[in-house]
Amino acid sequence: MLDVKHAAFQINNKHILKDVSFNLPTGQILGVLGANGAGKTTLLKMIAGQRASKDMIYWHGRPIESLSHNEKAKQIAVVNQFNHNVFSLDLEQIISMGLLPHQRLFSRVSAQQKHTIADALAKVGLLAQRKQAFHTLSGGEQQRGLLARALVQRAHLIVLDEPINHLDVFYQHQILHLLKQLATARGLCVVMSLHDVNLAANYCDTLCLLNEGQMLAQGAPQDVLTETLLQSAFKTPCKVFPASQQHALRVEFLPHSAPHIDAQFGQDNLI
Amino acid sequence: MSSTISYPMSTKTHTRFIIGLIFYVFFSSAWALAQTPKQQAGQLKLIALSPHLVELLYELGAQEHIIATTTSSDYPDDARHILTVGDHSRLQIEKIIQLQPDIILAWKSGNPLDDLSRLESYGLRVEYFDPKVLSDVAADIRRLGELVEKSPLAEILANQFLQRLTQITSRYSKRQAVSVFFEIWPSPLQTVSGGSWPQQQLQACGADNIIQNSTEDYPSISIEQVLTNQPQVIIQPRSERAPASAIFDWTTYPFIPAVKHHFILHPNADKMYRMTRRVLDEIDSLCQSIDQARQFYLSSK
Amino acid sequence: MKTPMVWFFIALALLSVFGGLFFGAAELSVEEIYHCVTRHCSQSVNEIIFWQVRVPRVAVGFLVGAGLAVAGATLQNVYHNGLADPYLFGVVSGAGLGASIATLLFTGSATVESEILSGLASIPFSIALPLSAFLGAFFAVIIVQILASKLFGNRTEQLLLAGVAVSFMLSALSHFILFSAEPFAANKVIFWLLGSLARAEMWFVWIMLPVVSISVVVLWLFGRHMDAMLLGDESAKALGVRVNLMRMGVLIICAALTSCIVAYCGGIGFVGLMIPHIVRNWLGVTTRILILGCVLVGGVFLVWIDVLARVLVENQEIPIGIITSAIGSVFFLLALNKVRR
Repeated sequence: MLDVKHAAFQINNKHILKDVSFNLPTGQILGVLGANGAGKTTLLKMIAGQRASKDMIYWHGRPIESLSHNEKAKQIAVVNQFNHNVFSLDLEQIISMGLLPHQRLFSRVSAQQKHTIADALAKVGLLAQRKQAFHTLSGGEQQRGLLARALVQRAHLIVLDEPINHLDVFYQHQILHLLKQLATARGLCVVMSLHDVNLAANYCDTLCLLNEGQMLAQGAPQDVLTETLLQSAFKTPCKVFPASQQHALRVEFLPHSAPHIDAQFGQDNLI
Repeated sequence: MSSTISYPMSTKTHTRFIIGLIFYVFFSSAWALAQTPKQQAGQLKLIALSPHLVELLYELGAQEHIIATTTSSDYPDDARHILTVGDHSRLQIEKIIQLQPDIILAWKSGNPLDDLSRLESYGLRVEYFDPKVLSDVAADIRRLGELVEKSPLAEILANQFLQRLTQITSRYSKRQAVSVFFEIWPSPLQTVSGGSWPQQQLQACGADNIIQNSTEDYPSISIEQVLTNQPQVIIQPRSERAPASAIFDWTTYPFIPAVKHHFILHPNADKMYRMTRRVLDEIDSLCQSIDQARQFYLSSK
Repeated sequence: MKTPMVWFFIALALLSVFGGLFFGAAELSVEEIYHCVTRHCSQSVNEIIFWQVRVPRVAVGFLVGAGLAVAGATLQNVYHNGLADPYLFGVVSGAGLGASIATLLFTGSATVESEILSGLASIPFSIALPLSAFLGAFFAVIIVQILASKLFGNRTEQLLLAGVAVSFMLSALSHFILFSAEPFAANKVIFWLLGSLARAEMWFVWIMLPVVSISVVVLWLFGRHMDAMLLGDESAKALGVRVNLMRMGVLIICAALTSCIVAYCGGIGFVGLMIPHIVRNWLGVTTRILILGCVLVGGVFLVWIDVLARVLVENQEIPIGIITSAIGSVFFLLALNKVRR
């Protein structure tokens, strides 16, 4: 059970995030939507405990910053994109890092932990690539590898920053489906930021739409994904086709009209 | 850049390198072992760790006691063949212990003191010598004489040294002062001063050093200081081993009296800087050359 | 982990330490060394040569090589930068400054006389030199670290640059001190900075052994945490690693380790850069195996390099730092060339 109460964050008196509140019951997926710079990443980092969040984020009733580093790692897994990869570790070495919160200094990797790793690799479909150097994997494979690490970490809250960015359609659906399955089966909370509103509509139980650091709307997909709200969040005209028997709710963004762009960005920026 | 330096050398190259290294080590050590030091039984064994101590031992006729020295011992010529056990930076502890010398004669300013104190800790006797003034040479001769049981000869040599030193000093030091510049190193330009070894020689010759600095023995100076002080004599000691270019070319400044009248002297650096009897020969000829300049300047006034 | 390789290196390490005992300025026959090891040497002189000069020298060689390689490897991992090395953090120039000050104060080299100075001169130079070199080295690392964290927000590149800047500053200070001391003082410090294992004595083995083994064990235990840091700070934090604490701890351990080594053996460069690169190639990149490999390969490397220093030129010793730097720089050019291709 994740509770976000009046989350706010500012750098140099500039508000990055202002008064964002919601809660997420276990077993559900929350999608964070919003334009670039809306505060999605900051919100995710606060939830992951990577940004100061005094008495704003509660996990099962406890403020997140009251958890020790190790407790936090046992509860919350983070799937971030990273670019540090100095000495080429292989996929299995990276995935087994997920064991770290559960290991003592002297303990060896147990047979059960090895099984957990193999299981996670199989779940994301990377069993064959386990000994391959991580940086030689494709972007999608890396992303799935990091998800596997989160699974090995056995956390109850998984925070993902744009997890399907580098994936092709097949893996986009596969990963989201996997997350959905895990959330229901293991009772996990999943919080992720997404760009694709249609996928969000398909897989998220609840959505939260941010605009310039403020919560524009929050709730079930059909309540959040309305033409008015989306237009003010993304500054782009759109059409919403409501859910029917055949398909889920679908959003189609329409081409900008030229004056609209000019008004938004100014002439200079177009050159 | 750093992200990719993971595979610097092929394994094959490494292996070849290591095998080559091991091979070389075996080869060169076998060669080193073949060189056996000669041992004389039943007599005093000395290790003399400086050229001047070796030279003084030769003068005392005690050369057969020397079983080892350092790399720079070169006088007399025979001294070049003595076994060496290190240089000014490092002594070969193992070898010195194995040679089992009765006394190690050390030069306090020129030998590594940590190695010496380590040798002392193994029960070896170390005698320190540290000549600072010209008359110390006589004192060192006397001490060495006692150590090799040749005191009577040492007494004679020491007295001869002191007598000759007094003779030179009394002949030249009170004469009309001649201003000199002493160049000990050309780049950066360094001279002598204070209580340094060459400064004492200048005093003995009645020469007046244009650079007066009581705290520094070997101060660095600028060319301008030389030009403005107009030295009557310039002294540039030269070593036989060093190339001629290792001295400053003063001929580009013909307005300096020393250059104009060709009083640029090149005494033998190897003799001049060595704390043995040979230094007096060099002082004597230096004083004579300075005296010629003195006579010239007096007559041209 | 490539287990057969590890056993190969363990065997090689034992062989090297044993083999190193056969080389030295004094000639000790194989039988004599056998006697020395099993019972007693045939002569009491050889007893001193073998047990008080040669054995400590080989032992210190192994420990120094292992220590420098492990310090380099762990710093590279926690700063995720293959060029990180304690020497780049000003350790050598700091030690040089300490050594210069010691040479000035404790050998009567100061040209200004005072009561305090003559009092200090009564402390044995053989203790004063490593002690003040240690303090100097440690001081340098702490200054670099403070500068990097206060001024530059602790970015790795800035840390390395701060290290270079502080190195030059401290070198300037020690050069000035040497300039104002007597000419022989400069000689002593310069030769000291070139590095040598010739000073190695048994008491130093008894200091180095716990320092190196405790550091290695502690660093090895936190190997998994350092692995997590290879993927960046945020990623490590998400796995429960207290990144800043880890980095500070590793830096202090490595600073103490290298300061101890440099204080006694002078500047032995490039070991901490070269050995980890080789070990990553041969054994693996994860920190625990890397540390184990660095102990073995670094130790073996320095034992043999010191043998070279002893026998390469007859009747003289080459400062070991000259050999390691010569090999290290060529190695580095090869490594860079490999990167380019």
